[in-house]
Amino acid sequence: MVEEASRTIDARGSFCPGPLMEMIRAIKAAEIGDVVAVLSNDSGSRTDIPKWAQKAGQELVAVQSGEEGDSILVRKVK
Amino acid sequence: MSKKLLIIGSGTAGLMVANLVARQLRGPVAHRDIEVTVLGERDEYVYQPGFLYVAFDLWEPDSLRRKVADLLSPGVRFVHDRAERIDAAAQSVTTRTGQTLQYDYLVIATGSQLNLTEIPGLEEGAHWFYTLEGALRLREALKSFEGGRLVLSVGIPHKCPVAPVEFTMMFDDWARARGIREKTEITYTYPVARPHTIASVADFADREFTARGIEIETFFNMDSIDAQGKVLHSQEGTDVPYDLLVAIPPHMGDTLGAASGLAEKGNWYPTDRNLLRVGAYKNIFAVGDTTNIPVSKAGSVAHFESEVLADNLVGLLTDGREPGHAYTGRAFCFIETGLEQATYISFDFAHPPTVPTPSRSIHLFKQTYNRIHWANLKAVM
Amino acid sequence: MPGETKEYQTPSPELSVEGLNVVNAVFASLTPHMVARFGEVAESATTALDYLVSPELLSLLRRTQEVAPLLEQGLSVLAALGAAIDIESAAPRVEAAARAARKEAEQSSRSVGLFALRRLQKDPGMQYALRFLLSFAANLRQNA
Repeated sequence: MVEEASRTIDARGSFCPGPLMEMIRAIKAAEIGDVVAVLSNDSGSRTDIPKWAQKAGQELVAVQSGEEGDSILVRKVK
Repeated sequence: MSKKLLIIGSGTAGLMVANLVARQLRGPVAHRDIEVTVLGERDEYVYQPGFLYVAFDLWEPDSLRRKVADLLSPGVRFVHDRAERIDAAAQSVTTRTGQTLQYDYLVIATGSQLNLTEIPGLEEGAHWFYTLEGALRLREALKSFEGGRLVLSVGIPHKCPVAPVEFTMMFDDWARARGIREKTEITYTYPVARPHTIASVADFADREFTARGIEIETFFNMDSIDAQGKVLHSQEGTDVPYDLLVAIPPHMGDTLGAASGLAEKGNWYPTDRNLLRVGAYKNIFAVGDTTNIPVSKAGSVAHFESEVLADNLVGLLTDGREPGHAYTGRAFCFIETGLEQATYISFDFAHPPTVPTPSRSIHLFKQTYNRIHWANLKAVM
Repeated sequence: MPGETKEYQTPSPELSVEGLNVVNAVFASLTPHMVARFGEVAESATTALDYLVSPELLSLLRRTQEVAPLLEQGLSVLAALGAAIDIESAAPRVEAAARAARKEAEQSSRSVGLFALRRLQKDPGMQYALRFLLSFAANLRQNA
């Protein structure tokens, strides 16, 4: 099943901690239940964002690899 | 027809670009063949790296301030007014008092500023040393600090990325010198997985903080502050009680960019990292903190960028030569590691920094540099 | 103390490392323009030094020493002129003063002084400098 993101942020071209900070800010502004997707071509994002989601108690939905970078999806659960 | 260079901003980047261009084009500037104008909201320049010293009562605030007019090279015109809107099509800038200034080349050097409203309770519950008023208020709070929980919490992005690390280590030293370290707990919080965005600085901070008994909280994004109960809440669900909270509020760019439809998220200008051009405009440049370039927002970056931009502007203003000088991401930052020791980092886009062992000599060099800065600003050195 | 032997220490490795750190920090902190400015300052400083040690300057200094009394006289004439300064007519008056000084010099046997004074009088740079001095003196007087 492919999760539909409520909001997608294109953070390609920005580097650590850019994509992670985009995710943190977007989750803060989102409603509970929303899924936020961040597109990133910084390899650190694949590990940074899931680690953050775990610490923050938010749900990591998917880490998808594409030709133009990774798409990391997180659902706001609290 | 004279060529007009307009620079918005009377901070480090704006003054350096104006002075570097004016010094290289003395003749044409004196004969008004080339007009160099600085449009600035503030007519007083403040040396921001000095705020750290003010907070610890080591420097008097007056030593940080000088009149903008006293810092400009001969021939540079200063307009004390606020830029309200850039009209890129008409090549003009309108000001708060209703003036319209025309330009052939525009340099945006409007810096970065604290966003004090993003985190509820911040203004009531926290201190900061990123403004002169804030540093003075913190100075008074430190005078009456007799021990307890000091929490330093970092929000990003912010200017001078090493300053929070410096403050933490200086505070540790200061508390030891006052004999109150044993009854003081120090906690440092940072938004990402490690205590700094730069890997080597993060490793250095990890080692130093651990050795000095300073607690580190990572993945900590300030959410709100309970000023009454003296508790800092993070977005990740961690609560940290404090007696004295020093926060680094996240920064944002000046609203001019948004009002003119030129800036992006956070009011930062989309800027070419080498030529410093804004968007697709051939005659608009951004320099210093206000760009979206993935490099530290720091005076040193503004300095290195200003030289590149000034050299390119000299070519454009004299014979329309295409910009050929490229900014390579160079930066140099001192790191005070206490009241009498310091180290430094030097890096560019391709070469991340290493952190040498702190020493007293580097601290003395930093103290010397604090004076050299004025000569750099005036472009006499 | 007599008979005491001193031990000379080589710099400690720590000190060498610290010295290297500072040198590295200085290099890393320099911007291209700062390096260029240092170069300019170094060039003008060495040029000035070279000029200072030249035989031409030495002989000029000797000659200046010889004509010192004449110069002093000339300056006192200038000071007297300054009392009723009129910038427009300052230049001819300087020339008149110089002529008077030359006359005196001719009567004296100091041929070197005469030579120097002639050169001074003919030199457009010197005339300009004297005019500047006079107007400067007038400004000083007005603002005193």
